[in-house]
Amino acid sequence: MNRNVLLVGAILTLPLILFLAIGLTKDPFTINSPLVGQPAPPFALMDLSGNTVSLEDLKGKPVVLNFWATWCVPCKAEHPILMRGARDYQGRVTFVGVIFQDDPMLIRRYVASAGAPGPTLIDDSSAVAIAYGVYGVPETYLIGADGVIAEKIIGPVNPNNFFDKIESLL
Amino acid sequence: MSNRNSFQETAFFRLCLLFSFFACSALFAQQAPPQQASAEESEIGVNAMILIGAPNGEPLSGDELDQFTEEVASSIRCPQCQGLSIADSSAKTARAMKGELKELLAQGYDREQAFTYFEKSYGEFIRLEPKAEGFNLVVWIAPVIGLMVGIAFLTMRFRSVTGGPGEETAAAEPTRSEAAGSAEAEDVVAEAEESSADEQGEAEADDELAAYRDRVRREIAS
Repeated sequence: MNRNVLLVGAILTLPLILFLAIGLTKDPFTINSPLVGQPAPPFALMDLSGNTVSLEDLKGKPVVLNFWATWCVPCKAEHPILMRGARDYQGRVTFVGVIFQDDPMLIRRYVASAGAPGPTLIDDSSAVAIAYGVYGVPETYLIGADGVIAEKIIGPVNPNNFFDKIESLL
Repeated sequence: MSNRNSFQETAFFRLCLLFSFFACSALFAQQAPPQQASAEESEIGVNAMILIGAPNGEPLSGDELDQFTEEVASSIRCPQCQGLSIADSSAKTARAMKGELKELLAQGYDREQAFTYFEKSYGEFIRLEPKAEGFNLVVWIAPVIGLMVGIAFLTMRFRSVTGGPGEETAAAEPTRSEAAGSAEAEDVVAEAEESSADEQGEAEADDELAAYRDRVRREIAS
């Protein structure tokens, strides 16, 4: 009887333990984006100068779409890497920043002092951030020249592999 | 005379020009603003029509829109929170999503289309109640199977404790320990009987003593 109970218990609990063990190896905050491999959602936003910039206008070249804010410390940490990328890949890759839930005045002040790797767009209603499934900032989307999202980078870009990823888009 | 005619012609011409100017400006005033508004709507932000197609339902407004927005929002997960719906969360993203949802419903998109809109960017994670299909069925079936297994286990245990069909013979033929137990019980009964006999004897002795006392008292009194 005891042996049977143990056997039934093992049959019931082992798959559960296995399931939980696999789950423990994953980051619960990292959820795969369904947009990777899909066409990037088209959008149009105003930049800090009041000009309209649309994704359609940027077609033909890879796009690095970066969601950021001035209140986000990791965003400021990755800023020099993006600036370097924009300089190194000038004319071959377009870097676009989308402001995420921040005051455009603060953004203007920051951009005036630290510069911007490309056009900085104002997403007042967060409509573009929602369409791209942004959970928080910084988040960066690598969009191929064909308009398909190749990768979503959650958190600050890593200088050790970021440029390799850009190379793979070219 | 000819001067007067030419003056009249010029005045008439000017009047016609003035009238046509006002007529044209009125016409443009009526047409221009909507064209500008629609151009702005299609230019700034994200066009839902491109992402999920044309609306399936009727555009909503007023209280009906507010109520339906709250209803649908309570089933959409806030991506910045822990298990909260966008209706319950005060996070900026939740509020922005609720605003987007309201706009979609106002345009005539139905509940499923609204879910699809958010699912396209956040995946099925965005649904607080996952769809009952595919692997998700485990969530619905596993508790029922667990309950059935639990009931079956408890039933088996209960039968073994109270005595099932297999226990009847055992009851009919007591084991050594049970036999020993019954012998002890018999001893206890015997002891009880003995003690009751003793008590009866004591009662008789008490009666004799009482009679003796009465006799002594009578003799003293006499």
